[in-house]
Amino acid sequence: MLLPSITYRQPATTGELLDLLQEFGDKAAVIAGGSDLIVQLKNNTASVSHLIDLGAVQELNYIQYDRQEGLKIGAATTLLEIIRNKTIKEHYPALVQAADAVGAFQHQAMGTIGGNLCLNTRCWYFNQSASWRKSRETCFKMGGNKCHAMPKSPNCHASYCGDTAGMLIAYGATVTLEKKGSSRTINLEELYSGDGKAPHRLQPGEILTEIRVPAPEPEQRSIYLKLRQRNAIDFPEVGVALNTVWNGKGCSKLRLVLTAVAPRPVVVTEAEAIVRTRGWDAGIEAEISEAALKAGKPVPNMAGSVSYRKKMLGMMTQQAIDAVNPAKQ
Amino acid sequence: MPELSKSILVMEPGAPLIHEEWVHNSQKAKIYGKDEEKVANNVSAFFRKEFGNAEQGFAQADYIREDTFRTQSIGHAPLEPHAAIGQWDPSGKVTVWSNTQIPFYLRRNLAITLDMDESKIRVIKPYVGGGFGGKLELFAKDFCAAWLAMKTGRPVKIVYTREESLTNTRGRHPATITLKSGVKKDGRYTAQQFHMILDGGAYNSTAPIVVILAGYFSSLPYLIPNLKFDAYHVYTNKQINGALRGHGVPQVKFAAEVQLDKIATELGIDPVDIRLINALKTGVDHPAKMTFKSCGFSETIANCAKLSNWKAIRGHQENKQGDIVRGIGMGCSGMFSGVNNLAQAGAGAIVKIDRDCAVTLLSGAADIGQGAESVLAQIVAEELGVELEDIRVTAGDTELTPHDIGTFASGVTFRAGNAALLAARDAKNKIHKAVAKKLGVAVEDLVAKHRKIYVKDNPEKELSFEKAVWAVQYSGENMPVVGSGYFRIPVKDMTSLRAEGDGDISAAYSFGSQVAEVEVNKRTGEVKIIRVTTSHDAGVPLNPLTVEGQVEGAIACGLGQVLYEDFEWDRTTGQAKAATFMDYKMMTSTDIPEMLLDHVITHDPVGPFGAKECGEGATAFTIPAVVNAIYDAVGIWIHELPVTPEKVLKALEEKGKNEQGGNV
Repeated sequence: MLLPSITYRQPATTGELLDLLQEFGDKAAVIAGGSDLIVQLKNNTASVSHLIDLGAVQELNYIQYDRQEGLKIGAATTLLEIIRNKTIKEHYPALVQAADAVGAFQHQAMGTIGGNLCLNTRCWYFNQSASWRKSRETCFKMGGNKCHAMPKSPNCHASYCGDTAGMLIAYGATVTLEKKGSSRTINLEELYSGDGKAPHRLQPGEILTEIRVPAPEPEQRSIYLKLRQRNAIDFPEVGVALNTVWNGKGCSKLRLVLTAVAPRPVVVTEAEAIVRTRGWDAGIEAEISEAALKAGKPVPNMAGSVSYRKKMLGMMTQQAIDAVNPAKQ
Repeated sequence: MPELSKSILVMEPGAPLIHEEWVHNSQKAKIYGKDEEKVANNVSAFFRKEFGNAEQGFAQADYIREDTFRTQSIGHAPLEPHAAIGQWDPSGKVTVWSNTQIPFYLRRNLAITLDMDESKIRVIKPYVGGGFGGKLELFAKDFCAAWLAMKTGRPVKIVYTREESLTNTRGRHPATITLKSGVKKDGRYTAQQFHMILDGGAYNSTAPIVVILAGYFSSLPYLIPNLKFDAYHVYTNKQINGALRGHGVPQVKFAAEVQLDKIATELGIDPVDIRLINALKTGVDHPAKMTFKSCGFSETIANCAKLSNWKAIRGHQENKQGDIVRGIGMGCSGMFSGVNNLAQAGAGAIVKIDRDCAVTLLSGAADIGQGAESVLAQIVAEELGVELEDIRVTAGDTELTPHDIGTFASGVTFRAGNAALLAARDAKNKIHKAVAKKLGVAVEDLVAKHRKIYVKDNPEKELSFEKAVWAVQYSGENMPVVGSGYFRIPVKDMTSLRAEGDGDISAAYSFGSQVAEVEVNKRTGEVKIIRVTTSHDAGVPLNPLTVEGQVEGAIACGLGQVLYEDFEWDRTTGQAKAATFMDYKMMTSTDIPEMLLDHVITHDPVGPFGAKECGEGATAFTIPAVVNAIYDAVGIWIHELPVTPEKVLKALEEKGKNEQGGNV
């Protein structure tokens, strides 16, 4: 499989980048690490005539921390830089876990946080070469009328599988989206549409430039757990991101976000509400697991049977709660 | 598993015929699960290996059991995909560069398909990035590169994509094996009966060979007095299966080795001890007249048990507490060092030494990354008494190098190595004749070592290798010094794969034992491999580094099959959903455990400098070793590959239910 014929531009500043994005519109794709885009170009699941390389835009590569403001990360910062950053490890250790869960070392060295957040949704029937996909009806995600993973469904069920999004959402992250002439900041979870076909709510010419994470609260305890078969390369079959705050009586705040079980990261709002309204008591962990099981709906579009992934989802939620519970250490 | 149940269903009378025009579509066969023989459809090859009297053997048994096992298809996944370049010469000759394991067979098959003389076809094998059995046939790219080059007059290069290489060439035969074994109460086998169905896919590929190899190695490495082995190779409408590292033996050993552990467990015998009781030994009188001129199997069992700390871990309850528990299990096998009975199963070699005193070896052997050329060079250097770096190897070129059948059945070191040894000896004799004359001694008095040829009892009387070569030249003898050798095991019928009846299928058999130590997570069902310990009798490991590489590679292959690898066939289109290295899950460097290797040296009398095979034997140990270790850890038996966490959890649940219900 060969790459299509493409022109290549390498802007040096964010300003130049936004100009190019406006100029080329959807004829261009942005490339940073390229670990997803290059594969899609070879598979003909992405079709662009221009590539805009972020590699030279230094002003999008930074990690800043401040006790009041919290964490600011440029979208073109590599996952490896995040993994190796001592400040992030100290204040947001589960973000390091999540970044380190991505792929293999090579993906972490080349891949960026922005790229991971903007990762395209995945499915067995989508992430295949053109000749493979030719053997069957065109699916919704490729502009056709069928979902091969869920044949009776009228929607696309491709799953969001980026490891860092869930954890950042659990930490309450916001993202800045810029296009030429404007900038807006939204909660990270609002970036995701829930539509497997067009998973990110990005306007034409818009790009994610910065991620901000609020300063950690006292007694904040967090964890990222990933269900995978091998120790490297594999995307999550289930991802559980948990952020909690504790006081003398137990957990006072909880945010639980699931990955690989929907076309978007799933915020388990019911779990949040249970903790907020009832406080911590015996049996609450089982209810939180139940809430996770209700919220997460894995579909048969990847390795790992649906029943096993569901089982593990419940178990991993329980495991995550135990791991952050100071009483259980 | 749809693909496997299909291979049984297609045998049923009335099933659709995969090849309607094929005359021998039906065959009297015993279909799994049914006792009577009936006419079965879509059987492309059948083999029966029988010796002694199985019925009588079972009658003598104190304990009999029957189990069924199922294995899945896996892919070779060599780093380099299949490729070929064709070039046409106006003189009427075509040259094909192919990353093939079989340059000479490829030439023959190109001659047939292009309708040309073999003498007008040249096949050159460049460096190859792995084959594992997946590159030992003529593929469309070989034919098309040649034919299109002829038609266009331009060189043509065809490279398969990774997807094509992984899912559209060959795979390992999935197999369903029903095994019935009888033993005495001390654990000694009295009889075995195998019924094996191999899913061959849409075409024949290596069908007649795989059923024979499985048959011959079903009983090894144990002395089975009575055997009945039946194997059916069946057509189905999907991926073609062919030779993959072990070629039928890993499947049958999975069944035999796991069942042996079940027998040991039932009888209260340690799995190490039951293997020692049944082990084949050097020179044993075999009921089917197989000869074991070197066999260190018992030593491999003992060494492996010791190195892996077997006694301290096996069955010990303190390892079984908590959610994550450890266990240890053993798997053993024997393997062929080349196959005797294939047509043209020989090798030639030429050793040429000219005035520059560098040694050239011409060999038809096909190094596909296993290091064959290094070992051949070592053999020649050892025989001539020079250093490894003095040898230049030209190999795998049908126009320049002598004939060799190719790299498969673990025969290269044994066959091509012996040919190289004979050629080196022939050259050495010519040189030593001239040296003896010059030094005034007898040829028998000369020793060659470290680039010197000297008199045994008077080492100061010596000539350097260079001066020795020039001695040939200046004595008026022909230059260059050319030694030639040819090696092939004598067989009754040279033109076919005659495998019925008694006798050897190979001139030497390797043996080995392996212990896997695993960790099972009882809540998730995940199995992690902690350590794999191997003790291997490869005769003499001529190149310990490449032997280690082979064993470790074989372990990675076995671990991948037992835990992860699955093409995830789509039921409606027969496509592999796991069609890329992202989804087809092979072991990564982060999954590979600690591996220990012990050599048992047995000096085979026929192998070159005592060497036997080491490339395929180890693939048959690992799967049963892991499955047996899982039993030790959590008390469940898995009969179907791959061992997914879901299967482990399901078996644990079943076990829990049985124990609660009073059934132990």
